[in-house]
Amino acid sequence: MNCSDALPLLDPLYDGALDAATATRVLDHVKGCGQCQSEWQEMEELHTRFRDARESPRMPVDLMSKVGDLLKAEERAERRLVLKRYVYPVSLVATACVAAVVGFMLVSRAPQFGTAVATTSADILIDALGSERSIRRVADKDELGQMAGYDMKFLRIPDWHMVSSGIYRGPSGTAIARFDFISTQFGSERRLICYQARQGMIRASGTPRTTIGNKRVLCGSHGKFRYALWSQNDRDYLFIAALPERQLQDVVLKTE
Amino acid sequence: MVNLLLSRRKKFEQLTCPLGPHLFRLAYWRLANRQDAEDVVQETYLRAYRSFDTFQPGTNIKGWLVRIQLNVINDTLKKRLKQVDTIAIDDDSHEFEQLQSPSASLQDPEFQHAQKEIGPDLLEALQQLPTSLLYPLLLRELEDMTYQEIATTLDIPSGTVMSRLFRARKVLRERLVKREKVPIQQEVAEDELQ
Repeated sequence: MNCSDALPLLDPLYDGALDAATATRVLDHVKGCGQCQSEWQEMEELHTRFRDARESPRMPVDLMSKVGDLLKAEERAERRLVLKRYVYPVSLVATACVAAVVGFMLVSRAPQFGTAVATTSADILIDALGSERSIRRVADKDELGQMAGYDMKFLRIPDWHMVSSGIYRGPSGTAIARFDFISTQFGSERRLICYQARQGMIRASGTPRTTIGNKRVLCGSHGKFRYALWSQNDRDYLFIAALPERQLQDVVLKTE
Repeated sequence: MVNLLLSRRKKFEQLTCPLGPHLFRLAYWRLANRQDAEDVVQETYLRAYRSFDTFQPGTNIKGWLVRIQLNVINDTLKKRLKQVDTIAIDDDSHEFEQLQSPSASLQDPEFQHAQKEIGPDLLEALQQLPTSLLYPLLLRELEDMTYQEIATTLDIPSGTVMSRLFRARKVLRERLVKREKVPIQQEVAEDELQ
């Protein structure tokens, strides 16, 4: 080994980065080479300078606490970001889901709303006229509303006088307010039965709806009775009477 | 989730906080400015924490942290360069080499203070080294990193670490002992070609 081979290897030898065989060969050369010994000595001096100075400077005592504060602040920022990105949207979705479920349950359990409302037909109601068991007489308006499940919205029928009121209870759970009227305007006493129900509860088959006054009325007959059905004030009104069609329509026309 | 974040920070601190003095020393020896070194250490910890998920457990945490710090130091030096009108910035490969010129910093009180702490000749000689020679030398002499650790940290071959250490020490010895001027840029150019 000559100097040109040995000189580049002095550093790795000093750093302990040579394998044992190469290190031995370099050391053998250095022992007998003045130039390489001089280089080795200079290297040791340089290393001594570093060793003497490497403890300087001392780290400021508060630096790591500053770092700690910085990391805590970063952690808080991350936490806020996580909440903003994931937790808040998830909670909103969860809240919306709960609201939807609760809403669905309320709607499905409330017979007065939507398609789940119990209904009946004009024919059934006419048939029930002869059965007093299906009628419960109730005179008080508020009590009538509570039993029917909706507020009463009264109409004024000129020349007719209400004689009784009550609640009709059908087999499917329907509860409809019924008002009985009498009139003597036709020469003899005539009766008019007026059913009032939440809009959509009473169905009927008959002629296409005709316009009577400001009402769209479905007229029909069942047995000896004629009836007229229309909707007004969010209520269904069914008039039943043993009257000619024109007279019944006249009553509907005058009803306010 | 909050507990996970908490444990992540604590785990990070357990791994990295013992290395604080090493990072500060490395930054100070490179920048010769106490305040800049403190800023670099804080920024290093912040960047490291943000990218802690990229650290592979079981690998060299010190090398990972030092690599981040060297990037922070380079960013700091870029800022300095922008502040020094007299130094032209042509491209990234030359700007840090040009920064080794002590002309702008020799009169700086902070630099003079650093000279007292590290040694006037040694610091001045180090400041004249290009980063390609300086970083391997500092990692070896200050941090006792092995050639392989230095190679991994600086992302260069192990053989290049050896040759750069050889050239760095040679330049320093000549400046410190022989007091001879050495054409540093020529040495670096030759090194880069190897």
